[in-house]
Amino acid sequence: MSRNLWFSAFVTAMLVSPFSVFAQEELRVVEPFQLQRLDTQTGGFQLRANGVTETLVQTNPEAAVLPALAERWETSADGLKWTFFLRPNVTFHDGTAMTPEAVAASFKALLPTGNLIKNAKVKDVSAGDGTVTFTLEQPFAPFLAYLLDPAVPVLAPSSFASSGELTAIVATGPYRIEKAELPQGLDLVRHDSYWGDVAKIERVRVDGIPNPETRVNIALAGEGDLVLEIPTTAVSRIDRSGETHIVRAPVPRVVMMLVNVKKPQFADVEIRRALSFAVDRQAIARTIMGNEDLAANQYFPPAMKGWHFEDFKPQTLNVAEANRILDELGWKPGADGIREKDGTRFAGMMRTFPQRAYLPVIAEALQAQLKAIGFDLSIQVGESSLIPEAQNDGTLELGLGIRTMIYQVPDPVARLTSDFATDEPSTDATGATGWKSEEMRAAVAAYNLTTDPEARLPLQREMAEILQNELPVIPITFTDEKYAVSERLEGFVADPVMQTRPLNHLSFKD
Amino acid sequence: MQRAVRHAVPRAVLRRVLEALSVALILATICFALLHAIPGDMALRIAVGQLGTENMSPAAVEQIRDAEMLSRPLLVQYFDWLKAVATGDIGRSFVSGRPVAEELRQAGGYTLRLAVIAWLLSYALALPLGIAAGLKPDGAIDRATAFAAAAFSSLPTFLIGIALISIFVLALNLLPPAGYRRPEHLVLPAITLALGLMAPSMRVIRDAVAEVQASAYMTYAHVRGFGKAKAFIRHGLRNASVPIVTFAALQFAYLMDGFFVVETLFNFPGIGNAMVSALLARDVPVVMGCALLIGTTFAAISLAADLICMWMDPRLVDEGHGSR
Repeated sequence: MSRNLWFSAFVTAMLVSPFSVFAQEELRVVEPFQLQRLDTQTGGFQLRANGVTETLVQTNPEAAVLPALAERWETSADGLKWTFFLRPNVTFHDGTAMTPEAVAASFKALLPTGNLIKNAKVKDVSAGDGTVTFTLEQPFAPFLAYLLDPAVPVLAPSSFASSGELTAIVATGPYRIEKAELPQGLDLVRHDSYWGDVAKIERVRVDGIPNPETRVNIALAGEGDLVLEIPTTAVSRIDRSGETHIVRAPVPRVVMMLVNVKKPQFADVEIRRALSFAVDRQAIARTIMGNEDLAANQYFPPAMKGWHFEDFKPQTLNVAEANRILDELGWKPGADGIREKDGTRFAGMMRTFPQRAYLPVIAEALQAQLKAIGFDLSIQVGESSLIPEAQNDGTLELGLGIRTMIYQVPDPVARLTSDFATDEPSTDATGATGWKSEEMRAAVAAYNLTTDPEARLPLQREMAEILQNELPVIPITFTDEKYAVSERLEGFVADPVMQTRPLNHLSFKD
Repeated sequence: MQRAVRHAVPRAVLRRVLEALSVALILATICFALLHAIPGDMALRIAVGQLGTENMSPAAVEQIRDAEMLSRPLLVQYFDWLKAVATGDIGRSFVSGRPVAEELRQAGGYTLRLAVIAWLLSYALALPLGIAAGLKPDGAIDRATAFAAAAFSSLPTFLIGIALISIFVLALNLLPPAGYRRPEHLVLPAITLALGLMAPSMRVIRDAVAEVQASAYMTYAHVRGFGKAKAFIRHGLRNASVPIVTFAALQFAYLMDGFFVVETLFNFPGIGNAMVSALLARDVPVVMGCALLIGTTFAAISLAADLICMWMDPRLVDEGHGSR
């Protein structure tokens, strides 16, 4: 009898307790990424974004590089030596002082794991009197931006075992890791002796929840203070909930159609232009992304000054022009309305993936729109690795992918290099397929040698122009980041360059 | 009889242990074969799991291929794994780098907690309703429970979960929608699983009770002057329990299926969630570790059910229930 009573009490308690009253006074961040390993190579971006790790420099919302752990820097006349003057009185999370020796040792240990910074070809790192000097194999003008590769933060000596293996993340950021429950999340605690603005909120819980609907439910239930990557379809529901509101911020990310230019139906740039003319970007941006202004008429979004050019001829809807081009090129409509030429059908399979919920929906919109010019588009939705696999084995016809242009390193040339100026195999659903441009490679190489920002501008224009004219990828829409922000939180400002979420500036309302 | 039981029990245990080993190995082998039958570059897929879709590089992919020795012939990979398993080492996760045993211990703990609560909850509902329905076949309770069982059986688990989220999270704001850190995080996943489990067990209980009620020994008990309740408790309950226990053990298979859906829906870090993530990331050691765990658990539960049935109905020992 007593057992039954206990059980009944347990079930009743489970069902009727007003659990919401247990809301904890910790900042609850919900992001779509799950941290698989506590190392900088796989989790560097999350660790930096959540205020755990830092490096010598940081960015502002305009993607300009500013001092951080280094107060200032200077470059040798030949561009091979970069000397950083370290900020004094910086302590690591373990209470030890950040010394030049510690910084140099950290870089020496982590540089081989960096993904993007390897392009800078660092030959040596040495410690001086309050300084750290990097010696490069060749001049590399965007070195400051590449230093922001999140795989290479400044870590304390206690982060490494005597063998040099990374065993813990002991960094300098406004929050330190108290507990890691991988891959579910991290418990962070304020770093009280932080060199910058000490965090107002003492504790942070970061949960990685890949399912977008679950994140939406968390936002609607008021169970998250800062919930990232909210799908467009949930925006109005969240705004009406009274628990959270949506903050939108444009991000430098393009949704694009990847085209294998080695396939006969896409080899001619005029065909790619016809495909581009057939896309109603305004309709896609308005109905699927929830904002008509996001229509992508060129590769770089308007917010990227020096890379977006108002005088470019925009890629806008013009079905008549698309049909004229195709007629001229000899693509004749068949009995089913689909064009053909020399036995080749004007058709292709578009591979895409569901991790970004809008991609399969955009693929379906494109399917309907391209039919108007006699193109038969079929769709395969699978894992994101489907696209690079098909790029590498030559079977890709079309793909629908995304590229965050200044993801991790705040200089678009880092991603332009890996997407449009390399012979290495594809590993992400982002770059050109079968397309090679010596002009693009020359422009990238020249840019990497040009330190004067004014002198870089023509090179930036040249790179953007090549993409606009050659259409190795066809831009469709830009995206914005939608954050669900709890009503009890104040001080949140979305970082349009997506490098950090300055959690140390947030506080709870009284 | 006692002697027969003494012999039957070790035989049953031995049989189930052998079964457990073979089921687990067969399951793991099938998983290994299926994972490798899926087209695509395994190193690339593991890299996606580790680094995300926008953060990969050819160097990272090659590093994974070398570190995990993915270029070895498949048979060599399989036999290397078997050899390691024979020494008690089930490997390290390709994605997290942690020992699979540690991952399974952690995820298994969460799942076990959820399973026990869901199972208890389902029988807390199914037993009284099933017995009441079986005591009066075709009565009002029987009809109502038959309708409820049909409804819950036909609803997919994820739909039940979404309905509960809509009611208890979004409309009433009583419970959290996802998580695992607080006791209340268990409530909705447990109820979702329990409702799915309850539906068929309610009917099995009802049928077992109805069958016992119609039996000759129950008529004899009534003739002897026992009231309905006393007759059922003294003679009916034990007899009706055998099919119920057997069915309860079989329900573990349903429960496993439910874990995949429920743990994903509620972001609950149990075995189902671990296996789904491992399958998507081609994390072969974790998938095979999960298969080993599921196979052995299923056999262990079957053994427990066998032993309970033999204890409740010693005639089963004579019939060789435990030694088949």
